[in-house]
Amino acid sequence: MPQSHPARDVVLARSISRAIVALSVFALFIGCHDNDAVPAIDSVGSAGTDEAAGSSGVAGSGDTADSAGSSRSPGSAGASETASSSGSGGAAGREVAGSAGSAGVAGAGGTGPLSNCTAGGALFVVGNYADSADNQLLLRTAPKAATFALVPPGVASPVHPPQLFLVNRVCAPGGALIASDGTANYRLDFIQSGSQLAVCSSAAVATLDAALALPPANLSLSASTGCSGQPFTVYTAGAL
Amino acid sequence: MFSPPAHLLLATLLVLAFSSRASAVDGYSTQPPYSLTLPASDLSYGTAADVFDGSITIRVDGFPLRGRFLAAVGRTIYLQKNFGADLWLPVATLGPDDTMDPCFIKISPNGKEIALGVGFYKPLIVFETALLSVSAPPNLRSAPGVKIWDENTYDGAWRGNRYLFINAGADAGSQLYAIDTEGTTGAPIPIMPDIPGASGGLAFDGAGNLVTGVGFGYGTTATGQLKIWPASLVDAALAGTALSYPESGKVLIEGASSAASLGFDSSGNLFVGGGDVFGNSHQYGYAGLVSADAVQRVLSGGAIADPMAPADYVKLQPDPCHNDDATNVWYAPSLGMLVVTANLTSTPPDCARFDMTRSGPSGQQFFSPSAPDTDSDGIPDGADNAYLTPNPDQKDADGDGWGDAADCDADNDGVINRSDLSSLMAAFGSVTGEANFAGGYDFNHDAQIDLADFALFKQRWGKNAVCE
Repeated sequence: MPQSHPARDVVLARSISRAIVALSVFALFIGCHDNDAVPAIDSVGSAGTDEAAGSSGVAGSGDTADSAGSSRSPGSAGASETASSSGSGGAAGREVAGSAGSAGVAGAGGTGPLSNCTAGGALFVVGNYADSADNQLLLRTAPKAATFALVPPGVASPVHPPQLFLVNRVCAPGGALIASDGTANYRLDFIQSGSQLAVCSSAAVATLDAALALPPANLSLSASTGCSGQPFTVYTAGAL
Repeated sequence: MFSPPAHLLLATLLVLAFSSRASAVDGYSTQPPYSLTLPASDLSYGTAADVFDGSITIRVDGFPLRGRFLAAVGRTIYLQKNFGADLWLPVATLGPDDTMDPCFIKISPNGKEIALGVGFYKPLIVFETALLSVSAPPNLRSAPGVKIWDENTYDGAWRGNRYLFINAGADAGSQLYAIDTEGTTGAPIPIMPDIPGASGGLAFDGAGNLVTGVGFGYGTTATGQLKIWPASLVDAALAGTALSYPESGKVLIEGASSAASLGFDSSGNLFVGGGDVFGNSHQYGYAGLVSADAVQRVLSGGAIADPMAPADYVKLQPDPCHNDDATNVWYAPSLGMLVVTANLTSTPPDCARFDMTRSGPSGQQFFSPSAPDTDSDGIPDGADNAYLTPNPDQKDADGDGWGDAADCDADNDGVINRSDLSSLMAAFGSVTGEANFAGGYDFNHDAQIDLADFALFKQRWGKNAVCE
């Protein structure tokens, strides 16, 4: 299970935040579950912005999860694009989804379950990344499997082993993944900007379907609270 | 280590020639030879060694002891890194003023205790195997729990896991005594005070019968005489009724090497090593095997073993020069593995008159037909650098002792860490035969790399890279 960490680099975070706002392509990511279940992220933006994003997400284009699911085609990337343009997002949407399961957050706003995902496939980004506390994130695409690993900082120690996740779904157009560590499933939303990668992970869910049904992180305006009310974790690319 | 040099192949042919006439060693010649080189030191005249039985489950910093050699030379005790590997990990040391010359190292039957004869008129040290460490080799002079007896030693043998028997003495006479290792520094128990000659080796068979002999003979006693005593007399000696060499026991054979380095295999065959270059007895340059049939015949009152009768006695000669001053024999029962080491400093056609020790003794590993081959790749476990993963080629590209087929230490730094994780990820999802399959990460040996393997990888994280 990915672990959050307290390290924060405000300057870096703000630059990431601006990059995120500029890159509407990442508006796919809206909402995210418990941050402490995932690689954390340096905070981005202000709380006020997040609140606004949250409210916009709720107000966006509510629909039931069921209807959202039924209305989407496997290739409904357009829904995400729509979501991006609408600036929808939100913690509020996520919370609704989490509590009701039929959260009316998806629809055209794209905040509902992932549908434009393919089994396995190559990661959109590979390499070695490290956060400000030197927690390392390794992303690899092997011929038959994509994986990512979280490695604690410092010399390898038996008391702090790494975590490895097998990517079960890669979702277009960008950085959403459904991954499993063999016992639980997670949704991860990624934001890449240059050499930096912001990550938000959901809490553990029991099944792949449940993970697919999770709402995305909120990327609309800020990543400071877009990950279930918590900041994304920002990693910087390092040497392979 | 696979890939025997030419002279070892020649030696094997010699062994085959002998064994074809003797049922007792036929089994050991049915498989290819595998070579082994023990560690050496300029501080020591020779290298002592013993091998953990194949049933031992103890590990040292993750490294399994099962079937691996322990070697003592200079000031250091080494553990063989892996089956078939000539790589030796320091696991204990002596003090800066100590040297082992010559010495013995003997592992108790249950693998939990180790006896070290530091050398001629040097102390006897007994310590728990658990003290050994790859990451922080202890100094046996100062480590807690180490028992030291200030007794002379030449060779030793465990009788059970409690009593250690020692043969020690000087030219004209030697003695056999026992140490109760469960005591602290209790006085030695006299077993046989009157051996007419320099110390030889000693060994017990599975029933507790004792064999010892004359390492270097004077007067009427010849070098290489071996005698056998029934277990009941040994029990009596432990209870206080010492044995007399001349007046008890039965002569088993005469002129068997120099009667040093004795041991029994699980069939009851007696192996004899030694080397008497000083005495000009011509008992050097080979090891011998006294068949189990001959041993039992003598024990029951029959004729002594005939060195010229192949059914009674055969020679194992790992060195085609036959000029070694010390040819030693070890046996790991559960692995069906017999190892004969010799000094191969000179080789044909430039054989020296004698090859003295100091260089790392090289040896051959012989395996019985019943020797386990867990991965069925034709390489017996005791010589297989990946005994759980079929790899008949035994390739080890980085020379780290782990066969490529089971090498989990990608960066060869001795620790399971991030670079190894990266390699595992590169192989993730692959199955045997695919280009990116890396057998070293198939920890559960199910021919695929998946999360189950990562679960086992995680258990090794930050620990010594022990690849099985």
